[in-house]
Amino acid sequence: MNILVIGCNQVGASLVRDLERIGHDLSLIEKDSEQLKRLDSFDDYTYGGTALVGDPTDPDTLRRGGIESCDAVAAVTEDDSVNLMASQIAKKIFHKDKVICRVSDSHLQLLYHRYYGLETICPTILTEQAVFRALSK
Amino acid sequence: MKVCIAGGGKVGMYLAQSLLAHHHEVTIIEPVEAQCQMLADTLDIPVVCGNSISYDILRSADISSCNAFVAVTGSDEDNLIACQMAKQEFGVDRTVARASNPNNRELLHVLGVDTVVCGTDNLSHILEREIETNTIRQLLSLSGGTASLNEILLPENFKYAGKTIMEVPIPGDAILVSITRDTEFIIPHGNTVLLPWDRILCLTRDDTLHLLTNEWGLNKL
Repeated sequence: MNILVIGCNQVGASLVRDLERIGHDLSLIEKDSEQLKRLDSFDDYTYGGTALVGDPTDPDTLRRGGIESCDAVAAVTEDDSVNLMASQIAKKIFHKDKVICRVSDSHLQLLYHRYYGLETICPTILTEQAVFRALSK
Repeated sequence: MKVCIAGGGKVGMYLAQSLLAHHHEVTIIEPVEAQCQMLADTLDIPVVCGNSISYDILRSADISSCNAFVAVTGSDEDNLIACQMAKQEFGVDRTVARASNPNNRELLHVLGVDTVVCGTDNLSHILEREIETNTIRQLLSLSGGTASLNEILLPENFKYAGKTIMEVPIPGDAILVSITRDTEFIIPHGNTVLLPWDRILCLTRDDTLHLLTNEWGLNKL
């Protein structure tokens, strides 16, 4: 699969590494060029895909980042609004079926899943559940 | 009318002042506490301190009772999400967002915001026009800054002087509304003759105005 990842923070960089390792083709869009240095910080892995520095909520940037030819999009920056806007552009403007959106605010997560049909992942809920399970063993 | 403004910076504050002057009821949502204090002291209105994309904050601002929700923070993304929440979750009729990036004007509207205002775009159009020529004056900005009503003063050496409107090329999308010649007021028709020093009211789309400026030689003064 061709996968476009938006955001090269800790989550994004690890995601890119893991996906590339199992054979996917990756492209990456990140606002801050400093963040791309994370890709060089792995001991046993070098990034083989394309990386673009630009505004991920700008359709032109998304186009240059290869959104038109990708099979799936993952918006995993640390800014909920940026992820939600980029995901909606991917769905509505570029008609992508598979769009995964990271949303930390649990209420926003619910709303956008329900009304906008976005596939949302909420780190807040996942953490709470993990801690809960660890404590209730 | 009851209006909630998300973002209490300069734009939000001046907007609140002007809405209050027109007897509207205004609430502001602003994340910085010191700014909230200042707004509450200066304007004497309810100020909710917090992030405008948080459900709890929007609820404590009681936006479901508002007729309009205006998002004017510096982040286009936040403005979009706040407006979408106001509409979907709280049933606000009318949402307005400020877009700092001109590319986002169309985009935010497609994604569900009723009205999008782009200050950067409007300002740069006005500046561009002032730099291009001093014979055109914008009187009224229309349709969110995509069109305008302008006054054009024909120069002494106007290249189509003495020609009828029918003979003069009018590129793009433009309509000549009226001509003021000294004290005479003329509604123009195809056979109306244009003369130097005529003041023409002209309705144009913004991409047309500089075509017209070039074609009529108004920038070579």
